[in-house]
Amino acid sequence: MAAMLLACVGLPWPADAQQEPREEPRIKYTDVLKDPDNIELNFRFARQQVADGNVKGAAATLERILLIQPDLAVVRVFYAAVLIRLDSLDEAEQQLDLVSASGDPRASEQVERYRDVIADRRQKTRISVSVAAGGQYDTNPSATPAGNSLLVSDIAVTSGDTDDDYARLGQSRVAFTYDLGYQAGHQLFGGATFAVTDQVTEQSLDLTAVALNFGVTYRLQDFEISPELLVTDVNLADQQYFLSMGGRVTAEYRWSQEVRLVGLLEGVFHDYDSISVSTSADEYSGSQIDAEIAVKYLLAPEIRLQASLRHTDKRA
Amino acid sequence: MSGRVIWALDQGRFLTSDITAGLKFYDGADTLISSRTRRDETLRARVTLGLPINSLLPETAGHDWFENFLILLSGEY
Repeated sequence: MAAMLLACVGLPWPADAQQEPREEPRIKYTDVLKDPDNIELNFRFARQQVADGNVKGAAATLERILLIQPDLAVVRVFYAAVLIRLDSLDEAEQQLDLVSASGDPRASEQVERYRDVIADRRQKTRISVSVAAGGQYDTNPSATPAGNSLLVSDIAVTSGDTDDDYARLGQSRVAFTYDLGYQAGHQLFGGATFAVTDQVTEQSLDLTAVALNFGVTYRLQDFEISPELLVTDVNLADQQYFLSMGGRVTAEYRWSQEVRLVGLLEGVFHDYDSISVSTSADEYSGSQIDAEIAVKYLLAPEIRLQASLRHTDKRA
Repeated sequence: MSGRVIWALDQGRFLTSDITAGLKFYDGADTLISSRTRRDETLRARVTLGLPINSLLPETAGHDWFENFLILLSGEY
């Protein structure tokens, strides 16, 4: 019955819409106000709102459609998907139950898919693993000055030519989040990253790095703060070169739908070891404190701008 | 200052373009290098093309498993 209604009003199922994207003219809110009972217009407006990143607005539009015509399964499934995006999982599940009860055979596949998404979102512990392998070509991996000379205690020294090189790259990361069970979404997080760069010619730049982090995110309505512990170890040319240990606190405030303010404070101790390819590296050992403020602006869903100011205080 | 544009292409392919401009001012000199205090002006541009492996396979291959694998081509200046 619901499927027949859908055919009548000509609403595409979201999956159909993805398979056959078409250019649709932009709908203004005033267009909706002029014809508030036009289901198709409202539905297209809701999809446009999602595409624009206005998920809360889309939820309100879809709710209005369902008040006018409650038996539209395609709208209810889309509404459930929007509620999942808003992390309103209980409400999303209620909407899927209503769709299931309608017995629409076209809806069952989508309903099951979104039920899986909800079950996945409700898992307290989530683990992600990523593995990457590849190659790199660099015209100047050693960052040799183009003028072929560099300064050592104010004395110009010939540095040799810039040589290009290829490298094999490998990187893997294991990360986890653990939901602490609060409505606000406080969670523990952490991870380990392992990276290798193997230069084909310039063996002195072969690098192996391990980075560990562990922290907690505390969330309020539009604000979150994440203190974390950091450890990084770097081997250069098969020798222990750099060990960093410390902590970082990141705070983020959602000023509006498009603007976020971010603050960061990081304090670490850098322990450099002098090695054959960097004989005075230990001179750089010492503490470092970084403070940064940034404004992130989402100009459009696909365009992000950021302006930041960072102050670094290094004692070596 | 940085900006990022993400272009969503068909079949899950995407293109990201980043541009970052920076100014670094130092309080003092690094005497191991020079008695002069350095100042850095940096401009960095990066383009990355992401290709899901299954978008490169014929449809008849039907390897959903490959959805989790990407080929990334990246260039930076």
